[in-house]
Order: sequence, then structure tokens, then C-alpha cells
Amino acid sequence: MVNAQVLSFREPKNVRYQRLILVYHTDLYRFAYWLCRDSDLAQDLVQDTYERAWKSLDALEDLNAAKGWLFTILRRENARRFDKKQFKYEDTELDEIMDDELAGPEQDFSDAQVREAISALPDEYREPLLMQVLGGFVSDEIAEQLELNINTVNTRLFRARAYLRRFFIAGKGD
Amino acid sequence: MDNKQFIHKLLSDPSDPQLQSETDGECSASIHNIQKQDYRVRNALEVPVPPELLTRLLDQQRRLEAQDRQPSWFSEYWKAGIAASVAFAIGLSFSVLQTPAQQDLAQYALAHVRSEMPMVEKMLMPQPLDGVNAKLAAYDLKLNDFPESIMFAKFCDFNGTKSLHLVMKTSLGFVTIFVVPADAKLDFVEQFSDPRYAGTSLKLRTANVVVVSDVPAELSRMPALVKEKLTYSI
Repeated sequence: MVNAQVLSFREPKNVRYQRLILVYHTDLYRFAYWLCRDSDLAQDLVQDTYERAWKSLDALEDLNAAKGWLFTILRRENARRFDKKQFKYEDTELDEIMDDELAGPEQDFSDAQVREAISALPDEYREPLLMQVLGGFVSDEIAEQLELNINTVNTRLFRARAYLRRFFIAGKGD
Repeated sequence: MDNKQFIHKLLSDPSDPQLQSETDGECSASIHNIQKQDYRVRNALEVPVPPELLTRLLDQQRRLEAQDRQPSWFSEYWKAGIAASVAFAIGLSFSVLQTPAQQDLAQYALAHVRSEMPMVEKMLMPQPLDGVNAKLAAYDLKLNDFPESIMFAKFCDFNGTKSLHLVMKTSLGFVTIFVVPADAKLDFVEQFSDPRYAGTSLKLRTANVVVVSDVPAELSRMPALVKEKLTYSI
């Protein structure tokens, strides 16, 4: 995910840290914004994330994992603030997903429709979709960060996209 | 690649450029649809990033570096500094509070309302309860429900302490509520007033809650209502 040039262990801590700010604060803010949908709170979450990152930066052993590490800190901080419970429910396995649902007719939709649909998406589907579409993570990275198995993540990614398609077709979700 | 493998790869990384070359025409339609949808979703979600965020993060870095260099007692001085920068970032300038003579909750609350209310009234908009609760979580508090409209919810600087400034709009007027950390170095004053405003302070386990209004009828009922609706989140 992360270009190895972003960080180098040879650089002093303050230089590494500032690179993390400059490279990732935009992605982290947008991820935070769509998790909580409040600009002030999203900024607070990003600030708290970087404060925690400073305290633990020396423990970051794999520099290529820096982005996922920051996203994980932010997710935990968001969950702490919103007092969110971990998602606990059954997902059907990927075998049940039909390819023709992905190959349906093309849809057209506005930015406002997308934002409305994302806001209406249940948390357990919105989070992995944001991580993939905004964060650029592949599903095994998302699975590691969310501590889920990869089939569950793929199922949620599929359902999130299917939900959006139904929302765009019907003007609302199920 | 069979159908199951294809779906797995497609969902795992829809932007993988190798997908197209490994699939037939029918699968190409799925790839095209999902990539197009993701592209539109990404564009719609790329909201502007507030320019002050980068300033806040770099200020925070300077503070953290300084903390690491200083003995622990020194950090108390930096707490006041970062709270001040937070207030600056959200656009609240409140120079009257810098006067060292004002050292109790009542004086700060009254001065804050007198100074900020004209500006705050121009910024009122309904605040979702879950967003307010996310901010209250900083004080380990939450509102399970609230019958009045919360129209303003921002953190502010209260004698160098990050506090939460809420404004309720009722049928009779406005009620301002400050949530101030219990460890703020401000004397607790239960009842107070000036020629226009009056207020009541509530002492909770994690914070002091100050209710201020220029509507006497609201002041007679709101403190009890706030006390009833505020619960501890932990």
C-alpha cells in the first residue's frame, strides 16, 4: 500500500512523523468524516489519532503498514467516542453471491445521491467500503484491520455495493 | 479462473489492472460496473479537508516534541497552549477571558455567553444527537435523549481547558450549556447572574455543567432536565 519512500527508519522520529501527517491526514480526515459525518469531530479524531501515533511511533516495525496502522487507531478512537459495540452477526459466505448481481445494468447517480446512500449504509458495510474506496486497501488488509476473515469482508464489500446499487435504482435502500 | 475465484479477486481489489486481462466478456461487465461505481463513490466522498487541520496537526507535533524534551511538570503549560489553539481553530476569539482576575466558573460562563452569543446565533443549525454524544464522550457523558433542539455544539477554550459549548433553542429562547472538565482550575459557583443572564452549575463526577440563559423560566427547569438526561458513558 504505502510507498516505501514515505518513511525510512534512518530518519529522525519528528521527520517520519511529519511525513505521516503530510501524506495521510487527507485520507484520514475523509475516512473520519464519513464515519462520523461531522467536520469538527472528524478533525478531533484525526488529531487524537496522530497524538496516539506519536506515542507509539517507535513500535511501528513495518513501515509499509503505516497507513493501515493509522486507520486502525482512528477506527478505535471513533468506536471509543461513539461507544460502539463490535459488530456481531452472521454473514452469508461468498458462495451465495451471484455474479450477475455485479453485472447488472449500469446506473447513473449524483454526488448527493452517493452521499445520502453512504450515510444510510449500515456501519458494518460502510466501514469496509470506505476503507477500500477511500483508503485504497485490498480486502485482506481490511480483514486484518477489522479482525474479520476475508470471506466476511468480501461479503460485506459485496453487500455494500449492492445496497448502493439498489439505493440508486429505488431512490432509497432496503 | 473459475467464477468463485473471479468474484473473490474482484471484491478483494476491484482496481487491480490484471483482472481485465484474465477474464471473459461477461466478467468484464462486472469489472466495468464496479470500477465505475467505485470511481463515482470516491469522487462524491472526497469532501474538502479544512485547511486548519494541517495547522492543528503541525502545532500538535511541536507540542508533543516539546513535551518529550521537557520534564513532566512542564506539560501542564502546554495543555493550556493546545486548548488555546483548538479555540483558535474553531474560530472563537475570546480575549476577555485572558484576564487573570476571572477564576471561577460563573465569571467565565457569563463572559463567554456575553462575548460569543451574537456570533453563535448566526451559526445555529440542528445538531444530531449522536454527534453531540460523540463530543460529550470526551467527558464520559452522554444524552440518552433530549426534548429540546440542540443547535450548536463545539469545543471551546475555558480558562485553557477544552470544554464543550452547547446551545439549545426552546420555545422561549436560548439556553447555553458548558461542559467543563472536573479538573479545570476554576472555582465552582452554583448560582450566579449579571444584569442580563443568570446561571446554575451542576457538579457531576466527570465534569461541571453550567447552564446559562436570559430566560428565567428556562433556568427554572433546564438544570434539572439536563441533570436527568445526562448519564455517564462509562
